[in-house]
Amino acid sequence: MTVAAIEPSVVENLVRRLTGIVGPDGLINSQAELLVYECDGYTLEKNRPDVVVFPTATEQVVEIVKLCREMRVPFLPRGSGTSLAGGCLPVGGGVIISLARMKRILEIDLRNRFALVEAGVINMWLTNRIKSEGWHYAPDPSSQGACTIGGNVATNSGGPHTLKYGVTVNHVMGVEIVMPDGTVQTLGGPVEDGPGLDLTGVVVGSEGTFGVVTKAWVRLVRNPESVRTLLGVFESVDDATAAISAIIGAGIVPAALEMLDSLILKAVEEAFSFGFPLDAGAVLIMEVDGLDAGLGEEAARIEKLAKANRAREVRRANTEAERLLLWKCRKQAFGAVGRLAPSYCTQDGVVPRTALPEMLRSITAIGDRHKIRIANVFHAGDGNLHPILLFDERDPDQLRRVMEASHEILDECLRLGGSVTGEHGIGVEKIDFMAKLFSPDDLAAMRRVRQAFNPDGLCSPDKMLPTAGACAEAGRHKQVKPGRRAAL
Amino acid sequence: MDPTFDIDGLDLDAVAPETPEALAQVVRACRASGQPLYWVGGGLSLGAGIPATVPGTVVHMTSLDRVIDYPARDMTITAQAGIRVSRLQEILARERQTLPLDIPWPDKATLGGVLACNVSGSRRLAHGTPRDFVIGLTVVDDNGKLTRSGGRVVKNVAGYDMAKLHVGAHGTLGPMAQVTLKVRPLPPVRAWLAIPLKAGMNEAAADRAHGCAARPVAFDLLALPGGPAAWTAMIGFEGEAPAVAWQVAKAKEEFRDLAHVQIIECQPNSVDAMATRLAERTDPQSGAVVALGCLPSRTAGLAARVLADMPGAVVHALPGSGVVRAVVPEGKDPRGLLPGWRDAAGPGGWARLARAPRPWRQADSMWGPARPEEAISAAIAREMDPDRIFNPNRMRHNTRLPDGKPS
Ligand SMILES: Cc1cc2nc3c(=O)[nH]c(=O)nc-3n(C[C@H](O)[C@H](O)[C@H](O)COP(=O)(O)OP(=O)(O)OC[C@H]3O[C@@H](n4cnc5c(N)ncnc54)[C@H](O)[C@@H]3O)c2cc1C
Ligand SMILES: Cc1cc2nc3c(=O)[nH]c(=O)nc-3n(C[C@H](O)[C@H](O)[C@H](O)COP(=O)(O)OP(=O)(O)OC[C@H]3O[C@@H](n4cnc5c(N)ncnc54)[C@H](O)[C@@H]3O)c2cc1C
Repeated sequence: MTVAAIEPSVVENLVRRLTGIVGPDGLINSQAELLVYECDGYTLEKNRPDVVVFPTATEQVVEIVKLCREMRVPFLPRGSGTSLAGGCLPVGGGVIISLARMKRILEIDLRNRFALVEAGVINMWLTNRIKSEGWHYAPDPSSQGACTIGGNVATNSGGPHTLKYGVTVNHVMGVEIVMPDGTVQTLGGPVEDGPGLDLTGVVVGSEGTFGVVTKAWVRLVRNPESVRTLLGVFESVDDATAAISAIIGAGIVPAALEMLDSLILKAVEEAFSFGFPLDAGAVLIMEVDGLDAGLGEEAARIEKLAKANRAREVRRANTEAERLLLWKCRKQAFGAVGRLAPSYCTQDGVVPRTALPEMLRSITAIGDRHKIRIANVFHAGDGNLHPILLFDERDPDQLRRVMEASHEILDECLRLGGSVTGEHGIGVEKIDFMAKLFSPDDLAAMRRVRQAFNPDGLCSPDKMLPTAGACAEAGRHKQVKPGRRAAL
Repeated sequence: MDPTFDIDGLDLDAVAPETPEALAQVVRACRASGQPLYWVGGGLSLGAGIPATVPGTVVHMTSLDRVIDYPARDMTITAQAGIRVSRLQEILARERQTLPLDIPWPDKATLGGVLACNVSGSRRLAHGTPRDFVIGLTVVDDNGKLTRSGGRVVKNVAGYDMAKLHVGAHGTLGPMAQVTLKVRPLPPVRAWLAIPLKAGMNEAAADRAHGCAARPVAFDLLALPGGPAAWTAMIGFEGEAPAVAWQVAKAKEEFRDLAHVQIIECQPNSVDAMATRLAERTDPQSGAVVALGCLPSRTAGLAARVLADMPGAVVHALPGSGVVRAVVPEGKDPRGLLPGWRDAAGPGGWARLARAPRPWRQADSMWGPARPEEAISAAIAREMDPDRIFNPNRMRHNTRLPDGKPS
């Protein structure tokens, strides 16, 4: 559905009644404060919500949702707002329901290998809480110090170690969700295989369009007995990507396999002084884990394959401190990009792993053609690219070229048999690509599922699926984007 | 193929489409007349769910058995859903890859049937269940249109994950025509240890497995009538040779004091078939099978309770996952035991019949008492199959009255 702006008198009434639910400290509605909520990590489209509420309990979420429904006001859940796809863009305004104050870890049961957390718990807190006992929560997005488990559930987040351990959906056993009609449902739970449809599985990755997740039961994993972390240094991106294909093709499933190119190395080195070789074309972080017995041999096989693909040298992280610094460099690489350009835009395409060398060459060619510098730091082992397009948003021509280059990159991913998003989601950013990825019948099937969860469309409207009319006409003219008008 | 086929005592006309388009054509024709469609793969699990009452057409899926694309170096495979599991595994094995699910009767079972029933076995502890392997899916919708979700790459969040709905839906949301799976490298070495346990030690064994240094890919508790002990722990390992050798030695050390007689190391040449045979012991092709779920810490206790209530049963418990399956001894009607087992299973626990003779197959015995979230399942079924033509009545969310009306 497409929503018109909400009348000021309605907003006034809404705020008064929301205050009754969460108290005066539980919401914000001044224009200045709302500015923070006009976008998330994807900044090219903006739109201000009318009010942001901060419930502290499921019961409050229920009241809020019921009120929005009664007043026919759109609403959407928000975690930490680190989405890179505009998942938190309040298209058409309305109410943002922030889960930031629902941040308790409610239960940890290592014997039964699960935790029950409120949706606003920050991903990293969970692992921090249990690491001294030798356990962790496996999905480790690079943003894990900031993003919420609720947001991870909604976007089905991945991370460097999800190559071996699986993405968020493989670790979510159940959720408590406030449905768009205000009922509370418990789907799944710590007991596996409950009879009936796998509703938890389809809620994961539904990007906030199926309701507000208030709690999640997540699986906990024992730490591996042992880890070996290698750094392969290559003269060129081509050699590095060939090595990736060789490692996967040899039947090795590393715990993580990440690539950083020379541009990103420069930024990271300035920020963290790890000692990366600045004349290298690319490096690969290659990690294997498991039992100590035999792990040395596996690391040696990887080293051999890297060298066979012209690695100039393969270094080993000799201490845990060195290993942690290496991972810090990787995970904070995005943060370091600020040193390279005033603005950047990250893409999230995926290609079959064997197509990586070809895809990286295309990215270079596309960057050259549009005169846009592109840095690459990505989850190489599963073919999930993160080309970072560098620009200055004050220059409209650069902005235009960045958009064009981004679209060409994603089109190339599709041409190679891949997808336009591996982990960041469709949000509003990639909604136009849905009609390229899927047929009208495919989209109709997805729309039916959304209809079952969210029949009146008030919960996060205009996300994930293009509106039916626009999808039939896709390719002929651009869909009107309510958010984008505000941005450009 | 026989022109007719028996589904729950209904003698129905049968068709066997050879292409996804032909399957779609069958759906279109039956939708127009409101006639139900019953998918049959290997026909192993037709005693599951609530019996069919509305006559319709049987659709054999086994002619849809082509491999569409197998880019082995990407570790993905796209195949039609009627392919037999053993054939799929043979094709994967040629590239030293595998789908690490322990599927009983692989010569008969089809990929689609396995997904529809979300079959799992011993190694789910390490590798997960069918839902974790499907990365792309093509199904036929109720209008007879082929619809696709996911894709062919291992990581992809574009669109809703429709496969999660279809896996475990017992065909009630439409027929799966084509599936893309991610696969794993075939482990170079595998090993199994069988440890006949001292009396009363099955809970202790499960607790120990939880934190053990040997870290097996499978840890099962098995009660076989006539075996050397009431309970035998079956411990599986796979990986590189040095690691597996270390694990086997370590596990012998860690579990030795629980063993009633000597620990048995299975011969390497019989290891491959071990998990499959285990699954087959607990899933005979006839009779009744009960399935239960509980927290891992309660599994061994629950399994012992089931055995005490049904002396002579084959009981197979997966304490790492909290799943128990038991073959009901001849002559025993387990329906009256289900409520007590549900209580014993604790919070969130469940107990139901995975397969049973027709007279026992009521909604409650097959799927447990109704739960609030089934309202969502019913809404999904109303959207995706409003006329109830897909395996009607098999699950509670797709009830269709004998007069043919959706309820
Ligand atoms: C520097 C950086 C690095 C990143 N690295 C990764 C990475 O490695 N892997 C990865 O997958 N992503 C990554 N991301 C993207 C982002 O962090 C993830 O998508 C994350 O899961 C979002 O969590 P969040 O709490 O910030 O959610 P938000 O951004 O607040 O919300 C994201 C979406 O989820 C919905 N949502 C949020 N909470 C709920 C809820 N409780 N119930 C229902 N819906 C909800 C929102 O409506 C929105 O659609 C990165 C982002 C940044 C900025
Ligand atoms: C509830 C249940 C749980 C089980 N759990 C386990 C377990 O945990 N461990 C274990 O070892 N064994 C288990 N089994 C046994 C296992 O189901 C069978 O080995 C396997 O499913 C047989 O496949 P098949 O091809 O013979 O399917 P069939 O018996 O032919 O069909 C099974 C079901 O799937 C549907 N179906 C078949 N093909 C398709 C398709 N292409 N698209 C949509 N629907 C289709 C059918 O309509 C039917 O409802 C279980 C069985 C049941 C009934």
